[in-house]
Amino acid sequence: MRRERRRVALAYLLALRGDFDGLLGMARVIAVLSPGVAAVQEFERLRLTVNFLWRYRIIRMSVWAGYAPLPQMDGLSNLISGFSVRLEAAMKELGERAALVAEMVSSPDRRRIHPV
Amino acid sequence: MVGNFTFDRLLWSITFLLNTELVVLLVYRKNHRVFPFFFIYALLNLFQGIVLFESYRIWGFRSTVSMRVAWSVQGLVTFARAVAVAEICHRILAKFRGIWGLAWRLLFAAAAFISFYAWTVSRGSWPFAILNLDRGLELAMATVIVLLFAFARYYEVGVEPAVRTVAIGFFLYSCFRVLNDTILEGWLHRYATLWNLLGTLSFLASMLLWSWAFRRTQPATTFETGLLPEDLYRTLAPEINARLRELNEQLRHFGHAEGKRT
Repeated sequence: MRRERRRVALAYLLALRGDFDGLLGMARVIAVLSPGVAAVQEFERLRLTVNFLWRYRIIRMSVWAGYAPLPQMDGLSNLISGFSVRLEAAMKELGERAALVAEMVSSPDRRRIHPV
Repeated sequence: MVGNFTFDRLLWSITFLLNTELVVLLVYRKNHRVFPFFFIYALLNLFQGIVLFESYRIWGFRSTVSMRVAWSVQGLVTFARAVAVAEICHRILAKFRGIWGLAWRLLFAAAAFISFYAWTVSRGSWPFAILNLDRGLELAMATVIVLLFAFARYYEVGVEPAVRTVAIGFFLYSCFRVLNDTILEGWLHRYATLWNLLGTLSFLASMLLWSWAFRRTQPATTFETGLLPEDLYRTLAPEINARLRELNEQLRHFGHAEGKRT
């Protein structure tokens, strides 16, 4: 039971990280393809990223090592389901609005593009 | 002593030949049109070699005139190098207009801050003034290159291999000069001969890197990308940041939930 809870907690953390990375990637593409970017937004994102990654690593390590007692399974499940519903809606909304970006980016691989 | 002098001259000759080869290579591969400021820098380097050689020949290695000539030309070359570094930054980031708008201001601010810092923490006496200025500029260039790579990595912007090699050459040389200027300041007289020798060696290494980078013709323009409508960023960026903040909150909440149960 304890192992199962730990597994779910780690999966939850991994999913959070995946969503964070997805949003971050989208934000970068939009920034790179925009004719003007605001320093405030970019620094805010950098701050959030550092904050998230630091906290993520600490929590993940403590869960993995078994130092931190895990929340009860039902609490964890509620947390995940409540969160995923909200996030899904948010991602869908953003995804639709960024469809244009995806279309532009899907042309030759933008990442590591070399002009030669 | 004679042996050292001969070795110095040998190194100097090799550097001069490599510099000539670099200038010829730049013209032959038509890269002087693609990197005009780098080309000017390479030409000035060549010019510096000739001027130094002649001034040492006429006035001697330890004369005041030679020293003044050497530092004046060095100032010109350092300025040209700073412009060449700016050209590299422009080459990598300018195609992304928005990012470039942010990056050049940041890089410029960082360079100005580092130069100012290096100037204020260094000794104020006049004999060290040029040395301090030189170190400040070199430190600023090294910092700008590190920030440039950090920027490129953060935004996942591709850097052409040749441009990367050129930037690494600048970075290594600048770092070495900072180190050397710092040591030279401490043990000025004892260290002068070795300083010249090591400086030549580091320059030789950078020259090899640059020659390698420009062994092929570089494209005149880098990949041009279509830009998004102006308002898309303004509406989406704050929203994405809000979602990221939410994810952060979620993580904090999860951590606290664990903490409470502890």
